[in-house]
Amino acid sequence: MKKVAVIVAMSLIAAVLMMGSAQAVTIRMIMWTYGVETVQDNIAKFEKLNPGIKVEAEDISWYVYPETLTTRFVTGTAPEVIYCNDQWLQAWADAGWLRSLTEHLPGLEKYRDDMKPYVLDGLSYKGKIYGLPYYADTYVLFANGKFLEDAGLSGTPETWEDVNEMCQKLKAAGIQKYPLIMEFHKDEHSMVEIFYAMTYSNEPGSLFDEKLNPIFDHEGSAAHQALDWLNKALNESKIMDPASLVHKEIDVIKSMQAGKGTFTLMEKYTLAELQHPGSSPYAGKFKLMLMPGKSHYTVGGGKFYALTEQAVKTGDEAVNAAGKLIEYFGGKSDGEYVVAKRWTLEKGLGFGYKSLYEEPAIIASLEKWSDVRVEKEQEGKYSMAKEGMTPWFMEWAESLRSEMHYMLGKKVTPLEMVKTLAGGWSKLKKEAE
Amino acid sequence: MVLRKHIKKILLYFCMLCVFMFILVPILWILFMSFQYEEDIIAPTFSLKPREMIIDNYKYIFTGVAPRQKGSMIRSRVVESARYILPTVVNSLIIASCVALINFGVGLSAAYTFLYKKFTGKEAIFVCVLLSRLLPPVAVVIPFFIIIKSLNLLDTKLSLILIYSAMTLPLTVFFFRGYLSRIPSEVIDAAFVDGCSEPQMMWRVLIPMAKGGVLAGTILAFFLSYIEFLYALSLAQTYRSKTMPVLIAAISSSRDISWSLLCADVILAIIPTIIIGFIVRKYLVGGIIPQLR
Amino acid sequence: MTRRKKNLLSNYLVILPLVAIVALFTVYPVVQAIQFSLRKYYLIKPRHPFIGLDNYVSVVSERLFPDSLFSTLLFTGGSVAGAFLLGLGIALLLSYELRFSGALKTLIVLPWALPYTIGGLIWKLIFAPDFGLINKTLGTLGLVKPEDYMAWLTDPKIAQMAVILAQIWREMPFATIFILAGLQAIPPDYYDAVEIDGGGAWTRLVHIALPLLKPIILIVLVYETIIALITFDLVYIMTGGGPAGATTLLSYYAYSKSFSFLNFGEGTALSIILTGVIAAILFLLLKIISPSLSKS
Repeated sequence: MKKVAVIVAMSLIAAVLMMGSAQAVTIRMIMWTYGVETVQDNIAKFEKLNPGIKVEAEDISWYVYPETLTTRFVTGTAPEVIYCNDQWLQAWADAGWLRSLTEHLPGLEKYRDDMKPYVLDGLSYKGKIYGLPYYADTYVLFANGKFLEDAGLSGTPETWEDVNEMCQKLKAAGIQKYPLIMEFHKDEHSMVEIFYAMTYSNEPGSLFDEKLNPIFDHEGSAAHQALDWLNKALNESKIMDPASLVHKEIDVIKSMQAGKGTFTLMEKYTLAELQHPGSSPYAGKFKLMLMPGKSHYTVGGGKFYALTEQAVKTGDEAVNAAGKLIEYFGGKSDGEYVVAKRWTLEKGLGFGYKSLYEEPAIIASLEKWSDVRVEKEQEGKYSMAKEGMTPWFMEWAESLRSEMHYMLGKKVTPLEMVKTLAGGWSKLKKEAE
Repeated sequence: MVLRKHIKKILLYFCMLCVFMFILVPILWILFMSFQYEEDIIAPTFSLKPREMIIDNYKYIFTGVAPRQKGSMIRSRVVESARYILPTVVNSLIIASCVALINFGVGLSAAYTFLYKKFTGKEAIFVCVLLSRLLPPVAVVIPFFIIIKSLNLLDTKLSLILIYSAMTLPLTVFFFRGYLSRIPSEVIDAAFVDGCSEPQMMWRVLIPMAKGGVLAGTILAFFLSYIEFLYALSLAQTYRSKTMPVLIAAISSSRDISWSLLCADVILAIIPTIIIGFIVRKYLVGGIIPQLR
Repeated sequence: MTRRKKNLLSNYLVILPLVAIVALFTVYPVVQAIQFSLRKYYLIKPRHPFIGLDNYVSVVSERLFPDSLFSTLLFTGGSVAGAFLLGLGIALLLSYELRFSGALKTLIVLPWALPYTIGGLIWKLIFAPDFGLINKTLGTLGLVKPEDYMAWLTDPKIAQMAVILAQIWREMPFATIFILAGLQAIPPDYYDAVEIDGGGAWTRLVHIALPLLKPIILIVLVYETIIALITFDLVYIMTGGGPAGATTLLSYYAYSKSFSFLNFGEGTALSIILTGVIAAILFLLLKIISPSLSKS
C-alpha cells in the first residue's frame, strides 16, 4: 500500500513538474514607439487567451529603428517578432534575418486574399509573405478647410498647378504666409514616400522599368516634375514653409494645430489626429482631397509584424508561439480583426484588409474625420506600392533624402538630382549582382 | 576719477550679469517648461498672465499616471522609456564612480612610477599612452564592440567601466604626473629617511600634498565618463546598463513625447550633476592652483 | 632576485594595468579599424572583400567631403577660440573679487558637466522655430510676429554659428577654471613691478599674466581642439548634420556613414582621415605655441 502511494505521489509530482516545465514560452517583440500603452494592453489580452505564452515588448524610436535593429541582428540579440517596413524587408530577408511565413507558418497564408494589393506587395518578397499587416496607409493631400473658406476657395485642386494657385491666393490674401508645410526633416523617412506619391500622381510606376533600371532621369519625367514643383514652391513662389526642412511628422501636426500651414501631404492617419475633437481650434475642419496630378495616383505603404531568424533558431515552440502572436495582432482572433480594428477606431490608422471597409463600425468611425468617398476611391483605384523594393533600397533612400535637402537648399537643380539618383541606383544595382 | 571707477564697476557687474544669464537662462528655461502644460509650451508667445504650473510630468515619471492635457490628442504624449530616467542616471553614476576610482588608483600609481622610476621604454610607453587619446571614438567603436562581445561582457556596466578607464587614464596620468612633479623631492626623501615604505609615503605624503590636483583629475575622469555617449550607445542595449545620455537621446527623437515631459527628464538627469558640481567646485578651482608656474 | 631587478619588475607591474587596458582598447581597435577601412564592409552583408584604398578615394571625392572638412575647421577654430576667449574674459572678471564671484565660480561648471546630448537638446529647443526661446522672446516683446518666426536652423550659415555657440557654451567652463587657477597662482608682487613702471591693466595682462599662463593656455587649447574635432553628439542632437550638410562635421560624417548608411568601410576610412586631421592640427598648434616652452 505504501509503495503504491509513493509511486502515485512521485508520478503526480513528476507530472506537475513536467507541466511546469512545459510552461511559458517567452516571445520578445520589438516595435517602434507609437501607442505603447495600447500595445501593452493588446499584449495583456493576448496573454490571457494564450496562457502558455509570455510576451516581452520593447520599443525603439522610429528614427533609429532600422539601424538599431540591424545592430541587434548582427550581434545576435534580436527578438522573435518585430515591426517591419516594406523598405527593409528585402535586405533583411536576404541576410536571413527575417523568415517567411510561407515557409514556417503556412497556416497564415490564408490572409493573403483579403489584403489590399499594395499591402500584399509590401510584405512579400520572391513570392513568399513575410508578415501580417500592422497598419497600412496611403499618402494623401489634405487641407485646413477654414483657411480655404476664408480665402473664398472652394472645390478641390485637380492639378499641382491648382494647388500652387490656391496657395498663392492664400498668401496674397494675407491668410497664411506659408500655406504649404511638409515633413521634410533630414531624418524623416516619409520624405521618400512623399517623393514617390508626387511622382506617381503625375504618372504611376514611372520610376523603374521591369528590369529595375531607372527611367526617370530625363527632363520632364514625372519625378522631375514633382521635384521641380517642390523646388519652385520653396524657393520661387515661397508658398512652402522653410521650417519644413526641420519638421518631422509631429512638428507638422503641431504646427497645423497652431494654425500654421494649410496644405500638406502626409500619411492618412495624421488627418485623423488633426480632426480629433478638442485637439485644436481647427479640429473637424480639415478636408481630405483626392491626389491632384494627371493620374491622381498616390503611394501606399504597409507595416507588418515579421518573424525573425531568432524564433526559428530557438525552435518550433518559439515559432508557433510567435505565429500565434503575429496572428492575434495582424490577423483574426475569434473571426475578427481585433487589433487592426482597434487601431483604426481609436487612432485612425489605416488598415491592410479590404473587408474592413464593409464593417459598419469602421465606416461610421471614418465618416467622423475622413471623407469616405474620397478615401475609397484613392485606396481602391489610385494607389500602388513603391517600386524598387530591393535589398539596396534603404541605402538609396538615404541618399534620396540627402539629395532632396541639397536640391531644396539650391545646391543642385531638380534635373541634377534625378540624374544623381538614377546614377546612384544603377551603381547599387550593379554592385548587388 | 571716482566716476571712472564707478563706471568701471558698473560695467564689470553688467558683464557678470551677462555671464550669469548666458549660463543659467537655457537651463532655467528647461526647468520652467518641465512644469508647464504642453499646450502652453507650444504657444507662440509667452503669456504675461500667470500660467498654471503642474508637476504632472514628474508624477508620470514616478507613478505612470499620464499628465493632464489642456486639449485632447489622439497621439499619446508620453513614452514609457521616459520613466526610466532615474535607473539610467544610477547606472551612469555607478559607472562614473568606478572609473574615477580606477583613475585614482591606477592613474596615480602609474604617474608616480613614470615620474620617479627609471626603466627602459618609459618615455615611449608614456607617449603612446598619451597618443591613444587622439583617437576619434567613431573609428574604434566597432572593434571595441567585437572585443566586448568576445569577452561576453555585452550589455554590462563593466564593459563601459573598462572602456571609459582606457579613455580617461591617459589624460589623468598626464595630469597627475605634471602635478606630482611640483612636489619638491626633499619632502619625499625626508619621508623615506623617516622610514616610510613607498605605499605609505604615497598615502601619507604625496596625496595630501597633491590633494587638489588629485581630486581635480579624478573628478575630470568622473565627468568624462558620466557624459559619454557613443560607446554607451553601442554597447549598452537594455536598461541593465543603459546610461543617461543614451536615454535622453532616444527619448528626444521619439515621435510621441511631449516637450514638457522631455524637459522633466532632462532636469532629473542633471540634478545629480549639479549636486556633485556644488560639492567639488571648491576643489576644482582650488586644486589646479599650484599646477604650473 | 637582486633588489635592482625586483624594483624594475615592480615598476612594470605597477604600470601593467594601465598599459594593458590602454593596449587592449587602443592597439587592437586601431589595427582593426585600419583593416575595416581597407575592405568593403557593409554591416548588412556577410562578406568583406579587400579593396585597398578604394574607400578613401570614394570618400574624399564625394561632394560632401570638402564641405565637411571646411565646416569642421570652421567649427573647431570658432569654438576653440570662442571658448578660450570667453574663458579668459570670465577668469579675468572673477579675478576682480566682485560681490557674486563665489556664486559664479560655483555655477560656471554647469554647462560643462552636462552631456552633449542634453546640451545639444537645450540649444536645439532654444532655436526651435515655433516655440523656441529666441523666437518666443522676440514675439512676446512684439519685435517679430509669430507668422514670421524664423526657422533658424534651416539656414546653413546660422546653423553653423548655432552649433559653434552651443559648443562654446558647453566648453567655456573648462577654459575658465583652468585660466582662473593659473591667474590666481601668479603672486601679486609680480604685478607690482608693472605698477611701479606706470603700467595699467592691459600691460599687466599682456606682459605679465599671459606669458606666465602659457602652459595653461596650451593645455586648454590642445584639449578643446581635440574635443571639438572628436565629438559629434552635439551635431547629432542639434541639427543632424543639416541643413544640406552644412553642419556635417567630419566626426558626424564618419558616424553617419557607419551607423546610418551602415557602410563601415567608408566610415572608418573617414575616421582615420579625421585622426590625421587631429594630429596635423595639434602638431601645428604645438609648433606655434610651445617653442618657448619646455613642456613636462
